[in-house]
Amino acid sequence: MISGAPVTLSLEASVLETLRGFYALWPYLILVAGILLVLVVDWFQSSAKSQRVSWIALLACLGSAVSLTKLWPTVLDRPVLLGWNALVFDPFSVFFSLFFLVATFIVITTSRTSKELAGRRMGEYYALLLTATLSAAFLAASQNLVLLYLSFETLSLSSYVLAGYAKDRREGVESSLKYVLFGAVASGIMLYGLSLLYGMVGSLELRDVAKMASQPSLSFLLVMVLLMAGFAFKMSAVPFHFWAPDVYQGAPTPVTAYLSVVSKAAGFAVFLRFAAPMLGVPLFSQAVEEMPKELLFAFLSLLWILATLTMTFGNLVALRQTDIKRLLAYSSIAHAGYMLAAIVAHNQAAYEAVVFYFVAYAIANLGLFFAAQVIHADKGTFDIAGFRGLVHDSPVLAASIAVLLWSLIGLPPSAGFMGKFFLFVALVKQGIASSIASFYYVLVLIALANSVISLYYYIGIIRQMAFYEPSTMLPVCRPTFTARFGLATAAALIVAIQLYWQPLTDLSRAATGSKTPVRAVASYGLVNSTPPRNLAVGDQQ
Amino acid sequence: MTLLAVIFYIAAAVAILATGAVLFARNAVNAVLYLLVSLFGVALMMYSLGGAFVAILEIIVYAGAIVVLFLFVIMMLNIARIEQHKDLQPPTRPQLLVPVILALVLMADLGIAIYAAAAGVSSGKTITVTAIGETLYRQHYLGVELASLVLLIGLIGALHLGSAAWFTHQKEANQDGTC
Amino acid sequence: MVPAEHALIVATILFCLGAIGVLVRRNFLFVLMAIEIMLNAAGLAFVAASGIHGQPDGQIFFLFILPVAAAEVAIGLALGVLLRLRYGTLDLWQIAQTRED
Repeated sequence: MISGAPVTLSLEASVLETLRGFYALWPYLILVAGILLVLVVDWFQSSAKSQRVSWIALLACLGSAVSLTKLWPTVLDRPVLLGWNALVFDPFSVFFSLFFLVATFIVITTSRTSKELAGRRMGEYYALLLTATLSAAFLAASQNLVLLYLSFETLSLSSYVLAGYAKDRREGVESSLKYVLFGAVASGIMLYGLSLLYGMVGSLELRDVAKMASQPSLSFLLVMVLLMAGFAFKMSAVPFHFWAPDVYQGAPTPVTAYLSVVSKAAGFAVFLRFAAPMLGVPLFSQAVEEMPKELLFAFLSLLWILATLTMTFGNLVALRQTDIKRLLAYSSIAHAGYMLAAIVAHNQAAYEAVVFYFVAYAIANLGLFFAAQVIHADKGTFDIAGFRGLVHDSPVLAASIAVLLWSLIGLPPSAGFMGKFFLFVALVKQGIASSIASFYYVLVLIALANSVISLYYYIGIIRQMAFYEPSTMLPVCRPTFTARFGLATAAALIVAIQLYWQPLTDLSRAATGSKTPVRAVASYGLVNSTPPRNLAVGDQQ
Repeated sequence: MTLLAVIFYIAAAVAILATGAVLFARNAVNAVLYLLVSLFGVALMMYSLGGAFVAILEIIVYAGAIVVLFLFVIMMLNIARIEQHKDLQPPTRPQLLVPVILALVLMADLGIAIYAAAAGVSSGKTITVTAIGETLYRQHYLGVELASLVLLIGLIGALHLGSAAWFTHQKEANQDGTC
Repeated sequence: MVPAEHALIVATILFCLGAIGVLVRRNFLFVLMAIEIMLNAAGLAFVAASGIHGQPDGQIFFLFILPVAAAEVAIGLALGVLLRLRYGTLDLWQIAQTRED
């Protein structure tokens, strides 16, 4: 229904098509302007007032988000391709761009009050943060391997520096070191996979890669395994999760929140897009190419094993953590496992579920890291002992944290419950339709068992907050009104989504394209037409 | 076996040997020299595979910029004299012998390549600079823009991580010294 | 005429050597060099693949690997300088040990 012979457009139409492409680029140009402005303005600020540039960063995020919402109806109508199929702006990428921008906006607001970042020059910090967001958005929109690789690396490189931004602290340097080592190796492996892929396909476009997948070959599976190294690194999935606990612990808390939400979501977004045609999910512009059965099953088994290992490992190790940032790091590994499990279902419902789940996960994680930051600011510790008797210090704070943790467990009434519910529904749906039902049912059971394990450590924190007396050794936590307000809003959102989930399911449905009729983007002339190949071959003597 | 194949296999052998030597080199300067030889070998391989332009870029950027960056940092750390570490000392004469031999083999290889070019031997699918330029700036212009962002990030990142390190070092040096 | 498979084999050998280097070397500078070797090997594979298909795309991808490698080295080396000043060593094992103390 999507693929078709390229239509040659009239000159007028093709010019309009190009203009449409640049119109879609506008939100991202605002971000670029923000990056440069932050750098230049920071130059004229004294070190003490360096935090001022955060206003520019906030404005850039806001401007970009507003123009993205303006773009939304346009791309719902028909996705926009830009730069010879380099980027595609469809509801999927625009949704993820918006998601990244909102998360970045929140991270910037929390960075402004962070004690770990106080007294530093912040121009570079915000410039790096905005660049990371821009590249995450491009990663979600990339439609050829060049853009995929470059935005992947831009995101990685800026995250390396962000993780070690507090460079006078030893943990900061170590965190950056560990991130650089793991990241460079993972992206090196991915790059090698890309080179083999290009060797096999002979084209850098994801569309052609998908076509390649329809021919059975073992080498294609090998390439997918190599590429998974890069994706798994970004998702912090086993076996490329080793960096996560140390980096999450050592990085400044707002950066940790950023890594656990934006960086991870970017990894999932690019994987969802990359794998969509092979898994048989029609994600807008991509033609669905049926993978041969055996190859598909091998690939699904790989994902199945990764998902199981990731969630089990994350949850089991999280049981033994005493540091809240480390605990959340392992919990975020476990959540990556749940989402990978949903992808195993390889149907439209799974894609919707992942999008929905990510929103719930992001609210809870951003909130919890902010809470950790607030408690750290007063008590000077990230230890779970800092949560002890928090209900006496600030009932609002404690109640909000409890709701957010509740959502991460996936118990009703919370957004996390709905997220898990949709994940399981997607898996069961696929199980009913498939001849190997137990393949999916067992995964559901494993995920359920994992949720029960996770109950133990999340509830542990809630118990500490509610039923223990506060430690006399630590000062009392007195969160500001804005902190309490922010966290209460997050908690309210979590509950509100449970009560009224329709808008969010509609959104996730629109973002993955199962609701809007898919228009044939692949058949538009100018932006789509392949360049004359004879130009490539030079002297033939 | 054509002349290009000869160039390729010699360069491949040198590159693999030199790369292996990087892994087992005892000191950093020596390793950097081996790395240099390895990169030249790869450049010659690229040339024989029909990528004359990328071969030159490999030498200019990899060997000329990246390896020199390594050397700068090694020199800088040595000047800092915080600790005399074995792997940061200049290589001795016997240690230099192997990279010199490998480099001479590569030079002979380069000689063959020049001879081959003069004799008009070509791989038959050499991709011209024109083709690369046309495709790069027509099809991949977004990639070019994003590459500039990558370099900007590299600049900011190195500046941030490196600059204050230098200041702290100066402070420490002052405290250790006269003050 | 060089068979492209041979070029891919050489690239694979170089890539594996780089990966071995990352695993066996303890010094951060050497690990960075090994990572560079890995990236370079992938670049060689791209150029070889470009030759197979007779298109400039692979070589263009190599052009994009260059700035990434340069930026990675710049950040890595700056981090190396920082490590050296903070720990007095670039030995990753020693750094890992001082952490446990």
